[in-house]
Amino acid sequence: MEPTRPADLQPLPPASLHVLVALSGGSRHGYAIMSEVEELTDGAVTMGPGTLYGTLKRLDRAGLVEECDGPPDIDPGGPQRRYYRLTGFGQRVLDAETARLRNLLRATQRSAGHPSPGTAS
Amino acid sequence: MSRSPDLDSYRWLLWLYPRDFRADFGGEIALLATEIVRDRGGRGRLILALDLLVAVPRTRWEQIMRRQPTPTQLVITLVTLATSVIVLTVVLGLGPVGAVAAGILTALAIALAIGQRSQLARSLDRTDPIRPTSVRAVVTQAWWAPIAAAHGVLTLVFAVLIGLRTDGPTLAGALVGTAVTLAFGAAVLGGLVLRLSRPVVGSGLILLGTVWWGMAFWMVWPPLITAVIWIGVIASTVSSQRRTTRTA
Repeated sequence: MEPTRPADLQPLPPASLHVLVALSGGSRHGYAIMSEVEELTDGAVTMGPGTLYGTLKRLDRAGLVEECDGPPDIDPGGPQRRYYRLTGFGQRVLDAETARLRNLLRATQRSAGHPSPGTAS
Repeated sequence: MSRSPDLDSYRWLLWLYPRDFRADFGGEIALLATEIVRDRGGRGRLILALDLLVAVPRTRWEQIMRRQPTPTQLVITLVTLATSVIVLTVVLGLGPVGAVAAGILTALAIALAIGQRSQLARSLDRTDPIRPTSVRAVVTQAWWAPIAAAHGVLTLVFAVLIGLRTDGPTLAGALVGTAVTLAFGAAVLGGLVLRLSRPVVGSGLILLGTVWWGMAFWMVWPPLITAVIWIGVIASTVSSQRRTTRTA
């Protein structure tokens, strides 16, 4: 049975979370996803091709991402690329995971004696 | 697309991936590899090498876990495995009763693993290295968990300290006996940890890991403790499954 609630897929593995975050800015092809993940993590995470497409395949199977057409201004002479975008369910899973991590961060800061973001010190 | 000997070698290495994955993504992976080497040079080659080491086994493993065997394939696999274990243990001097028991247990373990394959695959998908499990959470998850944890630890201690001296008339037999006992202890402890995220798979491992001592009918305590653990595991699993169904 495929999961139908975001909670069924939580916590997301780090590679899946990075890909979903990279796709939250719009549809991208493989190299653009990889570069976006590298940029978002300040170069700490570089996904190789096998890891990236393995992750995309799992996310596609779970209904979190889907293939889509590329942008209209694409170079017709360039290499044929596959573009991916978030589905509605994928966006909900990403929102739920972001909220989970935010709560975790808040709890950690509380227990460490730091003020939570948005609270007066 | 630029041609270079190392990228040609990389394209050949793509054959290590399963056929359907290669058919789906082989072209994209080769294109991405070319761009990585073009933009990152030596570091790009290192990324590709490390990625192959990690992604190929993982993709293969996922393919194995998702493949659905036919009933005939399943029966042939189980019979072959059980027969092989029986022959091996007889050759190693474990005796006919021990050999048959080892064969049956192996078949049961494989059947359980195959039956729970999709859940194991999902456990793999959900592996999260930033979420360590605390020992306290494992031991206090249910009233019977401390008993099962002690049982698992004692089984490991027994295997290491006593098993090698008593488990078989020959060194090979003792090694097999010790390895099997270690596996049962590890199954109980691993099941306790896994049960926190995957109740059914974890419970199955605990039941499998304790069955060995449950069969020691000539002693009082081992079967009694095993019975207590079995009752606890089954009752907890059934009630948690009912709760899940009601919530859904």
